[in-house]
Amino acid sequence: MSLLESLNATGGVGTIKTMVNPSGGNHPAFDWAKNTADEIFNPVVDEANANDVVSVRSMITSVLEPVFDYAIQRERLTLKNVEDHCSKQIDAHLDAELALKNIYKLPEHIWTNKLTNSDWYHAALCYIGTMIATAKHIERLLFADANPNNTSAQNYKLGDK
Amino acid sequence: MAGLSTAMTISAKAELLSAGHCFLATATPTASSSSSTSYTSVSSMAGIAVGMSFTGTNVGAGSVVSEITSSTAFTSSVASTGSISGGTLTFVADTFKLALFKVGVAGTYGAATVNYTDMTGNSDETSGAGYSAGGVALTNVSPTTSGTTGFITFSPNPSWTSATFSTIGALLYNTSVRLGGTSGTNTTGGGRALGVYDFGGTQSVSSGTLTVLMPAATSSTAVFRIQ
Repeated sequence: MSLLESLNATGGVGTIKTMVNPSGGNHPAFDWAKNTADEIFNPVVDEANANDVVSVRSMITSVLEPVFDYAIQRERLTLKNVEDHCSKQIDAHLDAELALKNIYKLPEHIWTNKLTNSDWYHAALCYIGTMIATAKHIERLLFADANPNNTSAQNYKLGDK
Repeated sequence: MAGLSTAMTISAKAELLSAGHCFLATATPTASSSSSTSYTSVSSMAGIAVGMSFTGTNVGAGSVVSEITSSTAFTSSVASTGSISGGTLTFVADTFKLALFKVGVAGTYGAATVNYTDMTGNSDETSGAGYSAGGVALTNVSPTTSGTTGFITFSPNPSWTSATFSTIGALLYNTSVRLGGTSGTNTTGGGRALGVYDFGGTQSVSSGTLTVLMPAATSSTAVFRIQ
């Protein structure tokens, strides 16, 4: 079902997808951005509008990518410079709000009005926030892998948070 | 036929109606107590439920909310060990985990799956570098509603780094023991299964990073929802 569509919801479980980085390390910012865009912008359309969907989704990906890149780089730097950074709660709210602001600055398209819908805004904010938080979470896991003597990082990884 | 079918487990439905699962997020209000089981002046009772464990300075070991007595007070199972005056308490609900299935499972998993022990009993959990048996613990995001549907999600998404293993799907289960009695082959009542998720194909990682992406938290797509 589409995030944008208002359909009769059914109880049950959702569809889980996966991301793999075979090289190790965090997933590339583009992958984060693309997977996020795919999830938050997936209107059900007829064939005539299919290219428009691809185009808008590509634009959304392009504005999300630098947000993810910045969030990852900042988390990586903070982990390097602050001994017990892993003991602090991950905060992705401001990054998510910035990401949405950038999406709203995109040139107008046929779904512009739908994206201002309150339900879509909150669902997208939550999802973008979760993805950014996960990117930061992975930085912490990687830091823990590389720094076995950092107590805060090891506790974080043991907590599986 | 061996394999996975994405489904909410039937057993979870009855367990939910029996207060068998609590998905509330961690809450951190302030409160006061004085060497007593009575906690008062709680800054917010939102997101606090009977059965949640809590910790804090001068909070007795193993404290659990045993009764909510007013909009600003509750009774603990264990008396506070000293004076608490507006101190911060940390309340936690159940701990849910996501365990991964191996490639070529022997068992059949779906709506009829009952417990994590169904997976382990068939030796169907994946293994390999970077994967610890039992899977990873998830961070609760408090349940919410949209329209006529209630749903939950978890954040951040579970990830495995420096990992070498293959998997075809996941099992969402509750490690906390909220209901007594046997659940499947688990006589302690823990490990109750909530959902089986088929990835639609083998996901392999070799000294890499695998991340499971929870769907968007909406009434029609959330990872676990009730209409």
